[in-house]
Amino acid sequence: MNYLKHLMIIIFVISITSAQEKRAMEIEDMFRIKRVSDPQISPDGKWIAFVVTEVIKNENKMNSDIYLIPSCGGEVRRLTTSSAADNNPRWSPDGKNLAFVSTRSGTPQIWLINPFGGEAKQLTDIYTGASQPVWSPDGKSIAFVSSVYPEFSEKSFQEANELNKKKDEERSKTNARIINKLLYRHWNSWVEDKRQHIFIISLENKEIKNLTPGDRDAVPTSSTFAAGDEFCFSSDGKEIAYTAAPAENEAWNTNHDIFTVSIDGKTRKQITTNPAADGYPRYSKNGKYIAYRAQKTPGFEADKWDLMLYDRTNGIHKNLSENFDSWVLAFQWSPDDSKIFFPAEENANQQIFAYDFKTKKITKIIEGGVNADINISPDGKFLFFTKHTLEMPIEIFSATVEGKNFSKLTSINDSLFGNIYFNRAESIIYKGADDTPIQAWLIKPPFFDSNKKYPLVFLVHGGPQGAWENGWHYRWNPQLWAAQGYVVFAPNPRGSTGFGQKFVNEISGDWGGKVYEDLMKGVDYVEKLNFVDANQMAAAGASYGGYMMNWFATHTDKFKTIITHASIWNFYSMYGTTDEVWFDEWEHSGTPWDNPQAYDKFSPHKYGTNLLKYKTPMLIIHNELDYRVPVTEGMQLFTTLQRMGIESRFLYFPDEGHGVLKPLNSELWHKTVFEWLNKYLKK
Amino acid sequence: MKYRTQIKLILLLVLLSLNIYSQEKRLFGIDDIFKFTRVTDPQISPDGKWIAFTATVVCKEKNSSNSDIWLVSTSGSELRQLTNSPKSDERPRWSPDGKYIAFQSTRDVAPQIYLINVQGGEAKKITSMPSGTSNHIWAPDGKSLFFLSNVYPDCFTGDWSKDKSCNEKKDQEKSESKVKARIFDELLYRHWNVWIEETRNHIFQTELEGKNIKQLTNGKFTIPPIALNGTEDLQISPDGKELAFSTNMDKKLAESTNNDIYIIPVTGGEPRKISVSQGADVSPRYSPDGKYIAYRSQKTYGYEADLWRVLIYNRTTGETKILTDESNFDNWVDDLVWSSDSRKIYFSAEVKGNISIYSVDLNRMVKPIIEGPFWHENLRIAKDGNILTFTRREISRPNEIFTFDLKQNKLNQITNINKKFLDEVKLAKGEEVWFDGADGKVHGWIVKPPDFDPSKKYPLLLIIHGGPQQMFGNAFRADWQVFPGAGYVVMFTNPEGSPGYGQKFVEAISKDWGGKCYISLMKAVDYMLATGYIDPNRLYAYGGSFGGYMVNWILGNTDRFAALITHAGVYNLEAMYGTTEELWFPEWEMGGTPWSNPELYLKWSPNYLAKNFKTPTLITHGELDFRVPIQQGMELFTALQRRGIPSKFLWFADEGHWIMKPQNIVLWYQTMLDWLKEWQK
Repeated sequence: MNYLKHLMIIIFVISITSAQEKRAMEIEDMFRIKRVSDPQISPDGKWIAFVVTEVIKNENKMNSDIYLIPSCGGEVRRLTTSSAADNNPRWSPDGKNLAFVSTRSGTPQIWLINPFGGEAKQLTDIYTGASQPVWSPDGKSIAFVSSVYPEFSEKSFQEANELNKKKDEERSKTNARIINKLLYRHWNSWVEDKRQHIFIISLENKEIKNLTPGDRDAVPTSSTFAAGDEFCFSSDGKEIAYTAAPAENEAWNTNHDIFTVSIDGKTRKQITTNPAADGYPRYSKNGKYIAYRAQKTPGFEADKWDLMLYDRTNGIHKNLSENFDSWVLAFQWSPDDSKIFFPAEENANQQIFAYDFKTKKITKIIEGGVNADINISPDGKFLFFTKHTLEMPIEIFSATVEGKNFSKLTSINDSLFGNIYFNRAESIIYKGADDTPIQAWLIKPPFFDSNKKYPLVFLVHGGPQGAWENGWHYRWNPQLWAAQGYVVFAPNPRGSTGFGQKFVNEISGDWGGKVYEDLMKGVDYVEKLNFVDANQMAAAGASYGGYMMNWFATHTDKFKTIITHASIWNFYSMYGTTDEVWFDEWEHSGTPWDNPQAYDKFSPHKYGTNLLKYKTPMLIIHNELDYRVPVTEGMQLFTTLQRMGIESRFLYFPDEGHGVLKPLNSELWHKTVFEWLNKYLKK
Repeated sequence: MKYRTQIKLILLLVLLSLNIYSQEKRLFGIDDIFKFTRVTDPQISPDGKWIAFTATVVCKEKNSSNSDIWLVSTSGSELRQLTNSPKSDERPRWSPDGKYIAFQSTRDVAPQIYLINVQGGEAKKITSMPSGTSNHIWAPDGKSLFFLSNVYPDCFTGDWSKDKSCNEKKDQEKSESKVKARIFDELLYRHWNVWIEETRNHIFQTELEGKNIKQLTNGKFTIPPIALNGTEDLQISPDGKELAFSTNMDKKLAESTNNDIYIIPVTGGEPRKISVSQGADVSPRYSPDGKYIAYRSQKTYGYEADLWRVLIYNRTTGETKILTDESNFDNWVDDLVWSSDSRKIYFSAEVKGNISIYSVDLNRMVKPIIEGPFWHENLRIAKDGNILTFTRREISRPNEIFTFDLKQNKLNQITNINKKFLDEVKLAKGEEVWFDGADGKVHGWIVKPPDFDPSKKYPLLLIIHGGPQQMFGNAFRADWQVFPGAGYVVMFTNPEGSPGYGQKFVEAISKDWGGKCYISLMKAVDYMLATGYIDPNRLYAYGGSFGGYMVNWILGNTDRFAALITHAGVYNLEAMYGTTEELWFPEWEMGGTPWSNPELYLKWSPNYLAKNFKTPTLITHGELDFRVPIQQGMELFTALQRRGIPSKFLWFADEGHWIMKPQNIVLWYQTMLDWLKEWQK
């Protein structure tokens, strides 16, 4: 109720300011939006530090800086002004310093700034860079992460630092790489046998120590297994708990475990032995517990994340969220240890929930939109968090810990959005395979005329274990697509998160099965809408969504054109070239040589001949630095289409990975995509 | 008496051999790959007194090579270096009066044409083409040069001064643009190791002062064609009025081998096609009397390994005559030159592991001219028609320049540039053998370590060639020296698919990639084991490209080898089809596309045999390899690693299908030698 009232006020305010001259959203707006992230409340609760990232389009780059706003609201103050990236602001326990990561000296290093006056000072100067600063409770040291060669990691920091540099210099003499194990490249960069270790630096004497030497990563290297800073100090400051990546077979193993290490580095202890992934350890303030997240199934990256409690006195592990049917994301202890607050997905929104240790129950505190980055005021009375919706980019909000007095703290993009006219996304539900209810978003174009018929764009999300959420998207923004004059339909079929784990599980091993039926029933649904021109429909999707586009192209004639981004075409070559092998092995129930039937059954390339049957024109987008779904997947599809004489175009970015991030590249991406749609869809 | 003299003789021989040993020749090591001089492209002066040629030395430290133009008198008595720039000087071409040599040099970054007076003086730059030049030739009157340059067809107006700035502007815009994206609307967007831009190679003419540059052809086609091109694919008629060239004007280049010979007047105009085959037609050669254009021709569309024949086109009647085909010469024809009386064509051809020289007259009579255990390449003829010149190499000797006096039937070695190298290094020699293959005798070579001792047991390295339609034979090659130099007995063979043994033998590989060819290779190993000097616990195999494919096939079909090395090997035939550039090749070899003939793509793809893999395998691959993309190597590596089989991936970020850069070559060989040493049964 409360939330709705506030939202009404917001909408009301927006509609007043924009009554003068509203316009549809344009591509350029994507570059005008300022991106808010990583709010951090000061120890005295008076300030929120946060990061604003702006697009500098003509330089084809982004720039982040750190800002401050009083927690009771008020004027926003810009703290850093460097043209390099400034990120990860972290308050010192006494509130007198902010540590942050900046690339202003060339590589990412930790800097300190007095938030109430004075310029920043560089704290670390490490050859391999420093990131993710975390303060010790006494404020005398900072733990951080650096990616180093394991063979030198037992040596003194100075010596190891020199040897890391020397080895890189030696390597740079040829452009050759000698690779001895898998996961040699990851996401969009090369791993080069380096390991991410946790270091600690003393602020007094600047001495640095590697706390986790050895041939093992001390933080998850895959973002799938990280919910934020994956390590923290115990409240007495004597040890650090951290999430170690799998010790071996990293490419096909998801067994992350929690360890503790004393801050002198001498005592290491393994806390979890669960063969699936554990992570995100957080000590209770009283020091009795470590809460963490855990999955149950080894090898299954999209398994449910439970909230676990480890009792440090008796060593007992307890599942606090057994009966809660959604993934627990980055959580926070309340200052009195009585509750744990966490975001979790629910019906295409991401709500904030609280686990209460007294009642042992989980209750919903904040709902609507995508809520995250929970901060709790030191008195335990207020929550500060980020929120975004399909109509609003991220802003910082606050509410009481009971979810009352909901208010919007920042207004970073209000002036821009005052001029833009949206139709609110409508959440609809239709019956999918087995009559299971399927949720979808329906977005009408701005200045919608109900007497007209509109072409429709059918969007399929990636993952596949993800969702079209009620959140702002900087890349695949359904409102921007709608603003081109299309009705946009974005369903959450089987495999989508936020609708219970059973619904998630039902996509694995069945990529073109029930999920396809769910989607086709969505097509049936939109075809019947009287404002949709059923003969003018296009489909688009990226990653798994791209896979589904290729499945569409080989299985249906419903679409006038299909846009497939970073898509999978051939399960065999995908398996052999992707970085995170566990994913393919789980999704297709084994390796290609142990279970070829599963690889044959749903690999689009095995249905290549069908392309000739439907002859759907396709725009393929694929990028060179995409190490998740390598560019050769898109190339195989393009070769097939071209050889068959089917209209097709390939947009290729040599300097992008799985998604298109650079501003000018993003502009070309959008222009090419919309031009392609306009060529095939009649308005 | 007799007895004594024999003892004396033996003593003498012992002393002699001691004498040889006292010179302390070293074994061929990896660094020796860079210690000899590479000689190529001999060109006889119009007066027949000199041969200009290119000599290239490699500088390992600088990771580069340097070519210069040299002159040697046809008597061999005088040798001098003509150009002396640290940049590459190549392609010496004599002016018709013999006073100048036009050559191509990268002194100014992009290769441009330079002119040097043979009698003395430094070279003068002639062209300043935005993308550089290639294939320059002289007009018979010596007043102008024709050449090829890469230009934007859209810029063409016919006025080069305008078009040049248009080309430069486009290049500049491209290099300054922060957006590096590309949009492809058709295949062949990349080729071999480069991305295909909008630019195409076209014919230009320039006067000697670099003035009056004219572009004579324009359009979406490129000269020479991107694949199956000949040598010297731009030619001028003896009267200087017409140009002949080869190109491919088909719309779907990725599927087409249909290169054709075209002619245009030197004043420019629409190119006119004179060749008629559906296969590749290249290497046009005007007869000295101007009556004919000879060229090399394949018959079949889409078959890149079809028989290369000699055809002649009668310029007056427009008739075409086949001078060689399977009826009179069933092997591949390489270089062509006309006799001075226009009655005969001399050509080099690949026959039984040799490249030999033959002639064919207008009545289709073929005669051998120079045969033997050698590779004769770069065939040229003197203006008076009496002297042939060419380069010759053999297993134990790199290229030198030779001449053959046609009147006296006399062969002369003209250069001995690598004498010092040959005096210092023990080069391994090859022994030819014929063994029982899958279906009759197969030709092979054994290269033993120079200090071979028959009482010892040696490790065997089977080297498998690429193509698959390529010929191994009596040629100097680094791998046939490095491995024997390191103590390995090397065997290489010409199994099914190899040219030089008749076209039927070539055809035996298509649609049968892992069939007879594999059996023949395994029989080669059996043959070697039967010699008694091979250690059965140390059998190794190595191959590149199709050879890499065959190593991957071996990996899936036998565990007799102690370790394998696969370079740029095909692993997943379906993915290979979808990512390689020259589609005609897999379509021919597998009898269709993966959707029109899936059976063979499944049957012969090593990836479906991953369950059988057992042998430790080193994978080497270049990231700029667009023929067999590196993802093929990645797929194999993933399977090996996932199955827990010892494996290593040597990844070259700056190499294509072959490893070319000196320091990469060192790393490549060192990694291969280390890998072999690591494994035995």
